[in-house]
Amino acid sequence: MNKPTIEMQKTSISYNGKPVLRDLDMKIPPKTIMGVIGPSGSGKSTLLRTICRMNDRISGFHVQGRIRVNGDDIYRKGIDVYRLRRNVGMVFQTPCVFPKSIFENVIFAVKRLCPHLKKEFSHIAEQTLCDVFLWEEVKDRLHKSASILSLGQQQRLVIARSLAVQPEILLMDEPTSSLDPKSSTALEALIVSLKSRHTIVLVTHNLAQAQRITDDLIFLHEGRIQESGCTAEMFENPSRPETRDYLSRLTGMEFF
Amino acid sequence: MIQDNLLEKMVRTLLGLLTLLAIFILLVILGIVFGEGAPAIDWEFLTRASSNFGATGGILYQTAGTLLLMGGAVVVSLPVALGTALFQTEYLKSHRIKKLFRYLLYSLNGVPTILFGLVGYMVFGVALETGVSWLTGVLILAVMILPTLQVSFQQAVEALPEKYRDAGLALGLSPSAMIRSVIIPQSLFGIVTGVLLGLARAAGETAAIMFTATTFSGVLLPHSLRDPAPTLQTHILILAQEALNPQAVAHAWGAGLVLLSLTFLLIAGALFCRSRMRMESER
Repeated sequence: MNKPTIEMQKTSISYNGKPVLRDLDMKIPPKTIMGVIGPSGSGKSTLLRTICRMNDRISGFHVQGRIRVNGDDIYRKGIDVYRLRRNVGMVFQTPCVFPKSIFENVIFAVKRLCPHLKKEFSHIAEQTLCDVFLWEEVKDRLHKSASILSLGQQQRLVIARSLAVQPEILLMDEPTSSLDPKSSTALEALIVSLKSRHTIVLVTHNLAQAQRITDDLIFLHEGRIQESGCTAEMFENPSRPETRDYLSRLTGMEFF
Repeated sequence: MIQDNLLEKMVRTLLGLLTLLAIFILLVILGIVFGEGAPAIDWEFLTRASSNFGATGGILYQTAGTLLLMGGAVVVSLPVALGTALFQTEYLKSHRIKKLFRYLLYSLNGVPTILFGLVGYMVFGVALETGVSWLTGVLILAVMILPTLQVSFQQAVEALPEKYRDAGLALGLSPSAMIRSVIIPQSLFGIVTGVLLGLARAAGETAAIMFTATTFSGVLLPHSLRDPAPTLQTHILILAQEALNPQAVAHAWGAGLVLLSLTFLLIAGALFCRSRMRMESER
């Protein structure tokens, strides 16, 4: 196994002294898609947000143990958390486009972070919009408001916005759950294509999706990692009864 | 059961009557001001300088003076209020200090305005040697509307949907970049609302500026920082005291209606911006 991109060692996460996640141990190798599944309230989103320190603002939020990104402890003192967040991008359930043009949305962060690249902006926009398969659809209306795009297009647009700051890791929190089936399928294809350059952690409720596109899986239940491993193996032969119970819903979910 | 119903009805009737009373009083005041003031107002009244100690002529310079004081106060207060609001929402982590800040601002809001005038005159007028001048008035009003501005700015920033903040944060924006490119643009309507409410508050103020910034006659527009300015508020007060001259009293009502309309316009603007802000946040 390659050196892990993300690594947790005996990590516990608590909120106002109340543990949310306990004794997390995991390694995510580079350029893979790691799926995180589990019932609602099992801490999937919390786990994800912890990797880019999105919960820093929440008072009473506390992380114990080690979380390493490329070997660097991200909760150590003196770390540049803004640089970390640029390296670890995040995509949310519902896309949040700013009330600006499509072009301005894509270069939103680049414009603030690297103003000296001004000449490159249109190139960056084209490149990242191509990466998310949106270029052909929007190239003629780059300077129109981003809010006219469909939800599926908006989700791809915010992924482009994240990609524009060249993150190594992308955290995705149920990115397809607010999309229609067609956009959802398109987004799955996009996620798979991003694997060639990025390490992806994908939280999903959709077990069929997890089975289709993830390489490895973590099953969270009652604040712990109940089981983790290769996706195919876990679906084939879950080693714990809780996992089996949860995965058995897959057949049921397929009908919806 | 029956008794409960009866009690409910009584409470409802009582509250309804109280509401009617409040609306009635408001309507009576508006009716009187409009009824007495409207006859005095015409184009000349709005565009002419006053003459004969306000009994004839118009209120052009008084209106200009009021606008100058209000505008000046907002210009001075805005950066301070926005700064404290953003410091509290974006940088300050301790909830205890945040609470302390809030109590301080609320008590500042509760200080009788005549004290602002007195202390303000001692600090600005005497210590800074600005004397009775429009600048002293602007500074006093600026302190006075600070809580109004600050509280509405902070509410606007706190009402910002978390998704915008998350989006900015996830892109690795530093707090200052976040303020510039997410917080201020996204809560702009709330900030404008706060400014308009602050202007309305300043327009409604009389006591604190009466003896510190304004003069009744002899001045048109201030020529230097140390000149006083005429204002509608002072104009109304002095004219109203001349109860024997019906023309002066009529002009006082006219000036009152102009001031009231100004305040209403500002509040209507604030309500409009607030509704836009709500629409933005629900998108």
